[in-house]
This record gives sequence, structure tokens and C-alpha cells, in this order.
Amino acid sequence: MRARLAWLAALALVTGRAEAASDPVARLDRALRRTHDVQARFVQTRKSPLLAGEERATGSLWVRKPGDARVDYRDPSPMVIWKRGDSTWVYVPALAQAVVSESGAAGVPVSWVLGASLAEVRREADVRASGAEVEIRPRPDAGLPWSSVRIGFGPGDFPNRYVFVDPAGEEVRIDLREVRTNRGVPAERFRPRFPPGTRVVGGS
Amino acid sequence: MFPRRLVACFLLAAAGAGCAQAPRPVVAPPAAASAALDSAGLAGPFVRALVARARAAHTLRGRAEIALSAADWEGSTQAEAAILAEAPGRLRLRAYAGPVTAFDLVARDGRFWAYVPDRHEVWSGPADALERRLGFPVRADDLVDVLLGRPFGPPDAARLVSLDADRAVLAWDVPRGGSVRATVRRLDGAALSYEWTRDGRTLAVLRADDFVREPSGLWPRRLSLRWTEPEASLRLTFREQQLNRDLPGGSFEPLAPPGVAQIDLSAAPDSGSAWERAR
Repeated sequence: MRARLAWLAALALVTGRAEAASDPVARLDRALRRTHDVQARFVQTRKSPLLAGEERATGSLWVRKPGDARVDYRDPSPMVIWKRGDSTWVYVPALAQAVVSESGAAGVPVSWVLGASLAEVRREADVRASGAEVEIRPRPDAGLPWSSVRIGFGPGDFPNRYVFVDPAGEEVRIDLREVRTNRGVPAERFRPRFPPGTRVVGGS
Repeated sequence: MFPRRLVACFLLAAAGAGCAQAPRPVVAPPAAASAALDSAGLAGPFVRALVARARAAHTLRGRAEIALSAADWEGSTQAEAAILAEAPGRLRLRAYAGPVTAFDLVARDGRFWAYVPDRHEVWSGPADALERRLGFPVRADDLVDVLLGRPFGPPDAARLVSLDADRAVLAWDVPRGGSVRATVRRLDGAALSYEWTRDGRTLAVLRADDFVREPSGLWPRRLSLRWTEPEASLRLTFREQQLNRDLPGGSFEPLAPPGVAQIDLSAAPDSGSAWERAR
């Protein structure tokens, strides 16, 4: 009898662990808890209901909690976006111009997830499991420009695949590659800096 | 500024005229006309090429980099965009800032609807209200004409102004006043530039570049528009474009995303642009 109880208890423990391990929301929670900074390359793929085919852009990104992010687009058009708190700088080398705005999370959508905790995300959105992915639906009053975000996982159980869909059906998929976490990204990386002669325009 | 532009135009024209080993022109005037000056006869092939181009496209769909600047603005703007145009005067322009939509515009039947996600607002009103609001001297129906290869009015009554080994310059009257001069490359009939003048002043210049061959003829992948009053510019660099395809249903329906404020710009203050005054 005692042996049977011990066996059942062990089985329950293993089953519980397996469920926790496979629950994508729990996996996201764990990943966000242990991530303090991220650096990665990315491929951004946009599908618009207005156009045939897809548009691809590539570059690198850095995220550091709390609230710092930088995205360097390299191809097809170089552009750098810095997000610090609620301010965003967008530097376009071809225009020798940087625009500062208060676009908040919209400037670097991935950092809205990776730069936060699950509890912080839940303040603005409903989070649930959808198969092996996490589906996040921002609440209407959150003021976010997308209607849903799907997150998938890659090597090391890291959330490396993001699909943002806006109310007009625009779909932007961001795949992170060569992800490195908690390497201590220098603060300098998140400081907006422009070549001499760059026009800095204060946004709305 | 104005003379400098003329000098630049002159230098560009001079540089273009220097192609000593250019292939034989495919748009050539009748041989008999070369002996005696027969303006109408000489102009005929070029006019037909311009008219054919003006009638070739009824829709355009493409992905482009768009760059805008205006004197009233603090700076310039550049964005990737989806662009749909359909004759007559229907335009859809959705511009992106990185991964998000920055601006979505529908214009049709003399009205526009512009969704600005960052502000959670849809602006709407008669077509010229957007021009007044933005201080940008172009109306959507004019841009549709540019995109579909028929800028500054129909060229059916064009006359020959000048002709050299590489270029033909034709002119026609613009319905809203003044005249336009179009420079056509004799090699392939490509319309390289259009300059709209009135009372001796240049109001707008359109340049076309980087031509690709479409079933309906040569089509530019790069368009550059400049206005002088007020100073403003628009540059479009198409990464892909399709002509005369069926466009997605609802592309030109008025924009009304749920939960956004509707702002009527019918009474927006006048920017006083020359383009508007020319109407």
C-alpha cells in the first residue's frame, strides 16, 4: 500500500513537471524571468493583404531590461531604432535625419515582450496557450498597434519567433537568430548617437 | 534656387546628349520630314508614344520606398509603403515605420480617409483638405495620374519643341493652366521628365528613371516629383510593381478601424499652396 502511494506521488510529480514544461505560457514566463538582456540577428517578413508576396528585412537587435531596445535594419534600407522608456528615436542614414517620438512599445515590438515580465505583459493583454505557441491579444485600451501576437520557441526554449498581426491584417513575422542572452550588453549600445550633421527632429 | 535648378536641368540634358554611340532610335521621325521642318510630322511618333503610355495602365500595385519633404515640415520622411492606384483617381497608400503601419490612406471620388495608428485617429474630408492639413502640394488623384503614366493632363495635342540625336521635347497645354514640357528618349520612347510651367515659372517637375519593360511598354521604377510653391518633393522607388492586375477587393473602401476617433478635416486651414491656387 505504502509503495503504491509512493508510486502515485512520483507519477503525479513527473506528470506535473511535464505539463509545466510543455505549457507555452509557463515556458514564456520562465524565459522572461531569466532574461535580462538579449542580442540577436533577425529576419522580418511582412505579408500585406494589399500586396502579393512578402517583403523581407534583416538586421540585428538588442534588448535590455527595463525598457531599452535597439534595432539596426541593414537590408533593404538601413535604419536604426532606439527605444528608451516611452521615447523612440528613428535614424535614417539616407536622410541624415533622426526623428524622436513617443511611440513607446510600437517602435520595437519584440521588446514589448522580451523587455518585460509576463505579469507586465498581462497588464495590457490577455495571454493564453495556443498549441505549442503563446497567443497574446492586447486589450483595446492598451493603445498597441497590433491585435494579436503569436510567440514560438526555439533552441534553449527561448521565445525566438514572433508574429504580429494588426487590425488591418498586416502580418509581420520576426525570427530571431544567433540569440545570446545575459551577456551584459553595454549601455552605450542603447544611447542614440548620430553622425555629425544629422538633423534631429522632435516628433509629436 | 530657381536658376540653380535650371542649370542642373541643363547639365543633365547636356550629359544625356553626350551619348555618342547610342543605338539607333526606335521612335524615329519619318525620314521625309528630316529634310524639311515639318513639326506635326516630326512630333507624330513621339505624341503617339506618350498617348499610348497615358492609356496603357488602369491599375498599379507595388511595394516602394517613399520619401517626402516639404518646406513647411521640420524634416523629411522615408518609409516602405504598399501602393495601389486605379483610374480614375483611386489611391491606397499604406506606409510602414519598421514593423508597424505608420499611415494608411484611401482616396477616391474626391475624398480621402487617412488612418494614423499612432494617434488612433482617422482623418477624412474632401481631397484638398489633406493637402491643406499636411502642407504637401499634391492631391491623390494627381498622384494616381503620375503613377499611371499620365501626369499633367492628356498629351494628345502635344507639339514638338525640340529634337536632337537622343531627346525629343514636346509640349502641351495643361487644363488647369500653363503648359508642360515632356522630354522623351528617342532610343526607346521613354518619357524621362515632365516640367509644368505657368507665367514663366516652374510649378512642378517629374523625373522618371530605372525603366523596366512591362507588357504595356517601358515603365519607371523610380519617380521623383518636385514642386516649387511651396518647395516640396516626393520620391518613389519601386521594389516591385504590377500593372493592370485586379486589385484586392475593398482596397479603396473608406477606412474605419474600430475604436479610433474620426476627425473631419473639411474645415482645415488653407496652406496656401500654389498647386491649390492653380485649380
